This record gives sequence, C-alpha cells and structure tokens, in this order.
Amino acid sequence: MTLRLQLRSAPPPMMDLSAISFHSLMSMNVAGVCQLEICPQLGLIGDWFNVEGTTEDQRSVIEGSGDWLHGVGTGMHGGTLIVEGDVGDNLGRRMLGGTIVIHGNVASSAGSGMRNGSIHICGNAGDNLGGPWRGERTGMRGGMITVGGECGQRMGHRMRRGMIMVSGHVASQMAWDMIAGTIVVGGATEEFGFGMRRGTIVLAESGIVGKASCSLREPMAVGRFSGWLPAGGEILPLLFAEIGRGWGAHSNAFSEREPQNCGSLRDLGEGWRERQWLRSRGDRAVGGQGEVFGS
Amino acid sequence: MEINGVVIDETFAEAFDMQATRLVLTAADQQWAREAAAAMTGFGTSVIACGLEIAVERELACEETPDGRPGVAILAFAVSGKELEKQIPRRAGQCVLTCPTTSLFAGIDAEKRIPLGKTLRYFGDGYQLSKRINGRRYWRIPVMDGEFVCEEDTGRVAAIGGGNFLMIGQTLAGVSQACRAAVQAIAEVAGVITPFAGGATRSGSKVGSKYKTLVASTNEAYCPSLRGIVHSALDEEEHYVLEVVIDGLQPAAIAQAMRDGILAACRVGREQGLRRITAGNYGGKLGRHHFHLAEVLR
Repeated sequence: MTLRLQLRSAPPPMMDLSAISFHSLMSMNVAGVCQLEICPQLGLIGDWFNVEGTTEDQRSVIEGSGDWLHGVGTGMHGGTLIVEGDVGDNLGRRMLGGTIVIHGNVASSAGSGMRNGSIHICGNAGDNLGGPWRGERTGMRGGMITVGGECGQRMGHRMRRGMIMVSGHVASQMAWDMIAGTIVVGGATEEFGFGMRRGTIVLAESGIVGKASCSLREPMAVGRFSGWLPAGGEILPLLFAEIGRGWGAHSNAFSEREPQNCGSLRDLGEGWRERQWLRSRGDRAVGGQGEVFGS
Repeated sequence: MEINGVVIDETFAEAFDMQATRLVLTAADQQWAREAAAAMTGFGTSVIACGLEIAVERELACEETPDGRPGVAILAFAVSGKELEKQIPRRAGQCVLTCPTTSLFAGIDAEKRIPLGKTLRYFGDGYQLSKRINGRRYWRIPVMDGEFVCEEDTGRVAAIGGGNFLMIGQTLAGVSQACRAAVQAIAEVAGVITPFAGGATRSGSKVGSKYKTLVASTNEAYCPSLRGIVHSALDEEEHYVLEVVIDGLQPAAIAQAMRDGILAACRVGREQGLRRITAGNYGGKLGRHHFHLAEVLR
C-alpha cells in the first residue's frame, strides 16, 4: 500500500519541504510522519496534511500540491514519490536515487545538483533545470530528468553527467558551460551550447538535413562550432538505446493518464536508424569538444 | 569402457585454477569482427609462453551485441589476474583498436575488473571522450575511420584451465578426423575455448625438463617414435596421439565439453583408426580439478 499525504486546508503562501527526506518516510508509520517538522514557522506535516496508508510498496504520494510547494524530494535516495499537481522550485535537488513522478508542472531549478535517480515531469519545467544552485560549480552530476512539455532558460547549465530529455521546446541558454552529460530536445531551441566543453546534445527534430542551413535560429554563435558533418555511427546505437530506455520510463509513468505527454521522443530509441544524423563540434572559443547531433 | 570400438581409459584430466575474462568485439560487418578477433587471439595457445590462452568462444548475431552490430565473444584465461591485466589491454590496443570499424565491450560482469578503455583512452591524446550510458562507461577514441568505442573495463572471474583428452590411433587421418569432430562439437558448448591451433595440440607436455630453464617439455611416454627406448604409454598399434585442451568458466562447462568432444571423436570409430581415448594428469597433485573420463561420459 502507498503512503498518501493529502493537503487538508488552503495552502500557505509558500512551503519548503526540503527538510523532509522522503526516503526516510519509508521506515515510518503514519503517526511518525505526522510528527515531522516542516519548519518552525509552519509546524508539522500533520498540521497541513492528512497522512494515511503504509509504505510497504516504497511509494509515497502528495495530493493537492501547487507551485507554492518547494524543495520536494530534496536529497532523496530511494523509493518512489508521486506528486499529483504542480510543484515549486528545487524539486529533487541533490537527489541521490529513487524516482519522482510529477503529474503537473515544475518551477525553477528542478534536479539541481542531482547525482542519481530519475525525475519524470509530465508538464513543463521552469528555468535552470538540472543546473547549479547559486554559487555552485556544477549542475546535475548524474541521473535522468524527462520532461513531457517544454522547458525554461538555462537548462543543463554546467551540467556534468546524466541525461535530460525534453519532448517540447527549450528556451534560450541551454547547455551553457556544459561539462559533460547528454541532453535530448524534441522541439526547437536557440542560443545553446555557449562555453560547452564536452557533452552531447541531440536535437531530434532540428530539420538540419537537406537544408542549406539549420532551420533553428543560428544555434551557436558563428565560428564557435564546427560545420555540420556526417555523424560517425559508432556511439549512436548505445546513445539511442539509452534515450529509448529513458523515454520508455517516462512513457510508463504517464501513458495511462496523460498519453499526450509521451511526446515526440517516443520513437527515437528505435527510429533513429531511419534518419540521417549530422554532428557539429564545439564550443571552439573555449577549446570545447562538445557535440551536437541533428537530423 | 568402450564406445564404438574405442577404448576409454580409466583415468582423469587434471585441471587448474585460472583467471578469465570475456570480451565482446563488434564491427561494421562479420568479416572485420572475425579479422580483429583473429589478431587478438593470435599467439594465445598456452600460458607457458604466450601469457594467456585466448580464443573465440562463438560468433554473435547483431541482436546479441551491445551496439547491434555483428561480433564475436572472446574468452581469455591467464594464471593470475595481474597477467590478464597486462595482456588484455596490450592485445586490445594492438589488435582491436587498430582494426577498422571495431568496438570492444565487456562480456562478463564481476567485481574485479580488467582495464580496456581505461588505459587505451590515452591514444586519443586529449581528444578522447567518455560517455556514461546505463551505468557503464565508454571511451570514444578518434581514429581514421571515425571513433573507436571501447568500454572502460571488463570483468574478471575465477575459471579453470587444462581440461583435456587425448585421442590415440593407428592412422593419422583417423586421429585428425576424430580431433576435428571433437573440436567442432566443443565449439557448440558455451563458456569454453580450445585455445590451440585448430583446437588441438600434438605436443602434449610434462612438467619440467632435464634442462633447468625449461618449465615444460615433451611428454615422451606419448611420443610414438620413442617406443622401445622409454617407458611408453603406447602399444605397437598406437602410432599417433593428438590432444584437445579445454579452458572453461565453470567445471560443468569443461565436463560438458569433454563429454561432447569425446563422443564426437568416438563416432569416427575404430574402423577409421581411432583406438583409444585417455587424459593427461600429473598424478592429481598439481591441479585441484579432476575430470574422470568415466564420470563425464556417464
């Protein structure tokens, strides 16, 4: 049976759940969970949520959430957390394992500094997805984030490892100062990859092949990236198998209730072979060896 | 015991503990994969002087390989983990990295690891890229036909070397035929290799020599040309002896290989000149794995 946290009354203007480690709920009973302190100002979990169920299936569900609820799943390292609704900032920050499924949208800095585990977001994501928190040297360092909708600015900023997949469009400044890792975008994006040192960006629907120039707005500053050349195929089977696995997990999380958000990346795991892939390398201004695959 | 007129001696094969690894080598087509495997497994017949015993375990179809390309599985055995760590990167670097279109992957999971791309990456001279996919780390080394993709390392497991049996006969044609039938049958068994040329050796050896520097020398008891001047294990009708040596990941795999090999050899039969099957041992004092012929054939 699943542990359920149901919002009991009108929400406060803001609630930060970063002090609640959701993996530790797995070894607690209902009374213990109710006694956990959110913060001195807001009091206990039991003051705001009706808590019921058990944790035998290692799952917990938050019902009635909204963009006022920040820091959900901070430092989580096991189990499954399902959120029915939107959440605010810092979802899954510094996450070490487990799975978070969001049936809604998330605000900024989701997956910031995460090291492992998976975050599946049904709707849209705000700015700084998988990026660093203020003053931190690196963003995401492992794990996987999938987004069924669109994503805000500075996605994958200083990302070091792991994978981010976004079905829809991504706003500007994606993968700036990217150190390593993989980003897959199903929609359009612009002004990405500045200062990129290593790492892989896959633009699944870039429309590059067969056109004189990229149909995206000039994706990378002129001269900073190499021209588009045929992509060597050696790593692609492994890379797309991983994309297929990741998006398969996303689809499994949402296919019953939100099939429309299983999106444009669904067929990439198998269908990549039917397309011609080109590759551009950069950012040369910083001696970078990053790569952008387009088809 | 007799099968198809061939006498099976009441003896046992004595086998030793070894360290082993499996590699999966893929390429754009089966021909490149075979050629790279041929280079990688060359000069890998016996640990006496080759450093390791290495051979193709089997060919792999596209759906069996990590990157969906045709490939081969290679098994390698050495007397110690240290020796494997020395030999495998050296062979991978000279024989696989150099061969067009190839990629190299771990073929076995184990806690102890043998480096592959971990050491080969430096050939990339700073242009190598690392990619972590599904918990495994791959190195991508730029080469003249694209990129050499090589997994960081492969697993190392405890294994067994030196399973064997000897085919003794009246005619060379008969013993050759029996030997080839045996090796062909053993090729179907998973987890074993027959590392010698064509799977067979004629130079069955004993431990030590009259020359102090030699660790192994000819086994005069099975040399037909020495009958009458040494204490021979051969009678007047037994003119030719060939040995099949089998290395395997588990005792059961070696036993299965010996069984399938001996039965295939015996099908050639006494009419073709095969008279006797025996096995090599050192009195049971050196190796802790004993494969009694009667037991493996039961």
